[in-house]
Amino acid sequence: MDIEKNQDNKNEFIKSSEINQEILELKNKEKKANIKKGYSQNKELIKGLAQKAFELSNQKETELDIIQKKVKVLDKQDQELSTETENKIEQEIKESNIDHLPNYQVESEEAKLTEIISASENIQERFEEKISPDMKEAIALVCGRVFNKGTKPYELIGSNSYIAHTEYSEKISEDLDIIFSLKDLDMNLAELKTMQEEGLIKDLSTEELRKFGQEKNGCIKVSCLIKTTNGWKEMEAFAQNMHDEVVNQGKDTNGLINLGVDKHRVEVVVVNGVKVNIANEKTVEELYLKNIVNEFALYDLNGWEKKGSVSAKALQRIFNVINLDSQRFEDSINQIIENIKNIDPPTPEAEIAQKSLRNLWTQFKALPAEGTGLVKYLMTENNINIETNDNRERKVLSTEAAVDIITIETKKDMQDMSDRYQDLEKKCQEALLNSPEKSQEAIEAIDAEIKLLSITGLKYKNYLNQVNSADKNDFCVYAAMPQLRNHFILPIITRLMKNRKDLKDKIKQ
Amino acid sequence: MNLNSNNDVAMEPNTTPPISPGDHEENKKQLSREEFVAQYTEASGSKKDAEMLANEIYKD
Repeated sequence: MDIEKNQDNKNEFIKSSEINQEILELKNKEKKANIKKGYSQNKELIKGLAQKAFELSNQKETELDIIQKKVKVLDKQDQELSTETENKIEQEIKESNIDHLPNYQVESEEAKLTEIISASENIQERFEEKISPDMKEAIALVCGRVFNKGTKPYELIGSNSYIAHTEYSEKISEDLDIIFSLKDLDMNLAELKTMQEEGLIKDLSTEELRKFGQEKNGCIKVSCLIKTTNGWKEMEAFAQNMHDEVVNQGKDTNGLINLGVDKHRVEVVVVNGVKVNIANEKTVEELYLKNIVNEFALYDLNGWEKKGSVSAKALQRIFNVINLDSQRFEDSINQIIENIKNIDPPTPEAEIAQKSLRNLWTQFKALPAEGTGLVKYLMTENNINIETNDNRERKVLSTEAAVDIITIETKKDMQDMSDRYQDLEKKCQEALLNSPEKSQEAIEAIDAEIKLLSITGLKYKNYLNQVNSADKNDFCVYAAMPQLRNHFILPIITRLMKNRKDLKDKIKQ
Repeated sequence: MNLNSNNDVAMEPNTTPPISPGDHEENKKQLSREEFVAQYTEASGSKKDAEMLANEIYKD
């Protein structure tokens, strides 16, 4: 019974399962159909969305393109405007830099070679602070009335430009040096003559310079004294060849600085409300280097192996070069020696100057590297106290003062020795033609001179003993002494001793 | 202290040696070392100084 019942249940279960299976299949079919329908619907929807997204994307891209194109156009316009503005500003600056030169020929070759810029605030401030009121008065007067009216470039050179380009210097410029074009000479002279009639200048004169004291070189030096509130300031203006004379007419350059022939940058400072052209640092350095070479080359020492000669002026110039802003004071002697070689155009004089300076430098370095040092010694001896806590400032100002002392001293000693010798030589020659008494007088005069020379010699020997070669500042002061001894003291003594012997022989006769 | 020497730019010659180097050499030829020492000793009263200077002048 149970088995039958079980079989029945089993059959019923199978039947029921079959029914369930059918139902499931139907449901599955329905689900599948639904999914398919949903998928199809979704697919369309997604497709639609995708299409819309795509269309939107395309649309945005187009908008972006338009925007980008617009930006590009704006960029270009901006750039053009910017360039135009920059050019305009540059042009305005250029024009403002030369608005004090109403007759300036901007398109001339001389002007093209000369970049005129406004001096930096620093240079302007230094000029304002360091140049004396009297000198500023003289500069403003003569530049405003004369040189600013020129057609070609001009600039102030010398100490007025130097002082503005060095941080530490107590130098006071006492004269006014200008270079300008020969083309402006007549016009400038006419104006200066008018000023002389008005009592604003005096002692106006002109002179043609000579190359190394020999043949005339076409450079006209115009000298005068300019009236200021407290007196007169000396002016020397040099009218030089520029591009037209040198390039078109084949003439030589006739200045140390060839403005309007070589490329130069001129700085404009305002002096008592008047715009004035001054040399920039590079020009100042070039001028002093060429000056050093000139000092060496001034003497035609034919037959003399040691041709180089360092004068008092050369000392100043060596110091001035190494004291410029861009120089490292302590190790610039080597740079000067190197730079002399680079002076354009290369000349035999530059070669001699370089060799002589190198020789002096070598001799100096061989001196003892100990002791007080000559600069410090001269400071103490002359009761000069530089009041500053800045070591570099103290060093520079001490050296500057020591160079000034030795410059003045050596120059005076050389001049005195030379004058006394000329007188004595005359006396000896006259005595040789006269009585033995005259010879005895001349001998006594020689002996007195020997004592004077001995005192001078001892003074410089003492200075040499103070030199400390470890202190490179001593070099500028030292450099004057070998020349003083070799070119003045020793030749004079030798000549006097020869005269003395001749005079003695005359007495014996 | 300002000791300005006012001589930065001048383009003219400076103190020229009173005796040209050529003349100096000529003087040395016309006055022997011994003669120089004798004259200088008389003039200065110091033979030592005379010898020192002669060493310098007649070193060649």
